[in-house]
Amino acid sequence: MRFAQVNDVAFVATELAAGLRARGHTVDILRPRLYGAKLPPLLKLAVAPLRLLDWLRLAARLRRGRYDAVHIHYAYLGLVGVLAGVPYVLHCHGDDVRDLARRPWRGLIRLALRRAAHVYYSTPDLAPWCTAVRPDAEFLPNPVDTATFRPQPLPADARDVFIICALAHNKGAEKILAAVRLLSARRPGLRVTAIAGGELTRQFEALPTVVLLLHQPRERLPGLMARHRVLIGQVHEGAIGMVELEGMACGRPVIASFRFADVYGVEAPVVHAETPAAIAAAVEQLLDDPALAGAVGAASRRWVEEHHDAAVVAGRVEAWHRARIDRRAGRGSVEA
Amino acid sequence: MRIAEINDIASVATEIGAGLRARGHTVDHYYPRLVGAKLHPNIKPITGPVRALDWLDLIRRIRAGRYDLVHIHYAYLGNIGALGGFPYILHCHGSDLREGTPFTRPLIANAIRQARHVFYSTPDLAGWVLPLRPDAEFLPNPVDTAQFAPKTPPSVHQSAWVACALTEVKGAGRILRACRLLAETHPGLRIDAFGGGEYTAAFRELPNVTLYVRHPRSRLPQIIDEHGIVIGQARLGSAGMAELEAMACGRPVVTWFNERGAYAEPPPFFSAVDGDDIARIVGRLADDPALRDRAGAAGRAWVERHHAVDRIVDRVEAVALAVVRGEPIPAAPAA
Repeated sequence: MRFAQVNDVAFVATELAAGLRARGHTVDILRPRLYGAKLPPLLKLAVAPLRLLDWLRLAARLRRGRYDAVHIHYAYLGLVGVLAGVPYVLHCHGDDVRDLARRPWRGLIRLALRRAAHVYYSTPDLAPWCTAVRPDAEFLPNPVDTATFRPQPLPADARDVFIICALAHNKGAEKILAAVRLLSARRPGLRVTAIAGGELTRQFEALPTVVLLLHQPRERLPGLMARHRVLIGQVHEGAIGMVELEGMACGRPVIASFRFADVYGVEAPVVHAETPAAIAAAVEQLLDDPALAGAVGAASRRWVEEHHDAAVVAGRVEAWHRARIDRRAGRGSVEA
Repeated sequence: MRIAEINDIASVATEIGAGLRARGHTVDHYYPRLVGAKLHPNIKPITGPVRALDWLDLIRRIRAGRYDLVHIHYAYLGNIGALGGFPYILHCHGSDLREGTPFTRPLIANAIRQARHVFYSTPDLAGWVLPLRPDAEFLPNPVDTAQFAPKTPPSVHQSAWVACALTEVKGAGRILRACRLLAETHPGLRIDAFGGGEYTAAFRELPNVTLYVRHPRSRLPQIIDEHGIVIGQARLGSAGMAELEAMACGRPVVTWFNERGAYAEPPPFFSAVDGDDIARIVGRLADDPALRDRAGAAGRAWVERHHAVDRIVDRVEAVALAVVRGEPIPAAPAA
């Protein structure tokens, strides 16, 4: 089949494309020009004409490309599929559907969701948002490149903690900040790394135990994760995202909030924590007990291989599109 | 004495001020507003009127402070002393002389000529200062060896820290080549640096380099201590504060040092003139933890002998007393 992946969020399109190509498909990734992406939501309206022109360009490419399957990432970009007049799968990732609560975007997002041939969402916490508009929306686990994100030996001079999520409120960074403050008082020699970015960057910068890195290219993340004993991910939403999954694939213990065991049918082996005290206690326990840290890391790797294998996820996407094509052609659907 | 320290470069004024206070002198710091400091040198003159107003305000405040002496850091700022009619010591630091423009050179020359005494902080600046002031004197930068001290031996760290800015003037192109070579010869050696400077994007592309956000100076001792080797500037031929502080942290420092006659005892830098040279020496240090420890200890001992705060403050105090008393400046001790 010939696939078009429109947009790429948290490298999900990249991983899906790799998985689909490995299965013999042709995949083009079409990237929208995200004019004014860093503007406040209402100011974004000012760049709407530029974006509309870009969407028309993308829609024309989708029509000309005669793709068998169009997979669009980020809810409102489903409008590109509407403009192109092609059947499309819409893949929701987080804030894109949470914007349903915002009046200026609500109508556009609902339209994009309603007109989609199918809707995926990438973390279980998005279910209420997506199913409110599309009851048939489906959780598609993020595909993880377990070959690139693989366990590596811990170096002798490994640092203690790597905060792998953005230093932003929507990741619970204020709880992590409070936890690092507690830890800094209890363990002045603690060495914490984080990547600058997010509203709380300045507060983290002021902590004597924290070193901030510039934004890192993704290919650098496996090496960076391997240089740390403990990883801290989001502690706010209960749903582990791509960066937490990649940390788990690297065989490092990840402290994060996880509340969706029912979706997976099994608990994730992250160290669940949602309060500063719990985060700090988890860090200390994992640093003081390398055997426990190693066991959690190994279990995490196995769990990601079982639930987020990129080839399996790509297979699910392929099966859905094949079934749709077969239905149109009047053939029976193909099992995944 | 009542002394005003104007401006601060590489924390030299801070260190000297603290040392003078410890000896019972009153020291106040004044920081000029460096409006447009990041503009291109040829465009900076447009900020002249704003800076002139700021200088007039500084002159007013210094007069009101009734200081015995003013110690001014950065060459062209000496004009504050010249305009105000204060007795002042001018302290030159590097780019203030090297990056002069046709507009600023006459100002710099005036500031140097009218100073009661002139210090320069790295030996390579002699060629700029001495033609204007043959009595100018190399004053080694004071290094706080209590703050910049090793907490762990360099042998326990398998990583290198680039201590200089990633700019052309610091030889970042040569360091970049060294990092490329090291990625092939020593792929396990991690190299970290602060982002900033025109070479930042090129360094970001290298698989063995991790870039940090620029941190406050107070965090430097800890960051240096987490590395086993330090790479300093590779173009000026003269080590500055960053290289000296790394040495005080007990780290072997690879830099280009071409001023061996400047000190009574040559500094134990690993001198490297180009990227290949840097890579070869860093590779040798990476392979030999015991050498890192030996070189680190020798470097710290040398900094304690030649850049101790007390020694530098002694000299500033002696020159200041001579200026205030109207006596001849005493002969400078060997660096």
